[in-house]
Amino acid sequence: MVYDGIVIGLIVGFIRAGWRSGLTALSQIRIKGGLIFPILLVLQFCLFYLQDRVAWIEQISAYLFMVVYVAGLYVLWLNRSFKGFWWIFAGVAMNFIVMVVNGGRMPVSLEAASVLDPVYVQMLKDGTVMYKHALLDESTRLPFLGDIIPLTSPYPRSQAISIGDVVMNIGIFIYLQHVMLAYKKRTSLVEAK
Amino acid sequence: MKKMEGIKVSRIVLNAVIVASVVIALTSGLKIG
Repeated sequence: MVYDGIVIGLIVGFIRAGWRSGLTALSQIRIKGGLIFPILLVLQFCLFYLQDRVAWIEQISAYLFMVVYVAGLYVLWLNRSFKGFWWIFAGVAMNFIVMVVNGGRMPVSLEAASVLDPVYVQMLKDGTVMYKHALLDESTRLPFLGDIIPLTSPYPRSQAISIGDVVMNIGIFIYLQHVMLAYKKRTSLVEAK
Repeated sequence: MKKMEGIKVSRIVLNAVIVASVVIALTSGLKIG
């Protein structure tokens, strides 16, 4: 589900807009502050790596994840005029809210995680810090926003995802359709004149 | 800058990196992939 909005959006976009128009449209995308996102991603990978190795980073990693989300939400907000970005913003905000009210970790239900490798389930039960996730239990706030949706066969991968992830991917799909078709419409209008 | 008949490939790659980063950095899914 992580990449599905992008992959399906691109496939449908190329079918609807055509290969050349689609590529040209993709080369013309301008996202305000877009370079922040790769930086946030690298920062998260550094946190993933260091939180198991450096005690003080493990203690504050939940807060640092929240900083990453706030920065990401801010840049998404800057681009809210683009079609689909409201959906992306809403999806990320859902993930952010449930993490904030649960100490900076995304709660994962045991039922949803059961589709994954048993190692993941055991780590959740043990309370091992696992990226940015923790086990969903009776003390979890807003549990419906956690990773409660299991994805498994016939879906090609096994994952546990949240409602926010679904909303976010819908937004990316809408955005790609808008960008790729808008260019085609513009060129069609120019050719018609 | 590499161009493919007027299409800036480097810009497409940069945009792909940005969009993929949005999803990977801000998704919550357990077991990314």
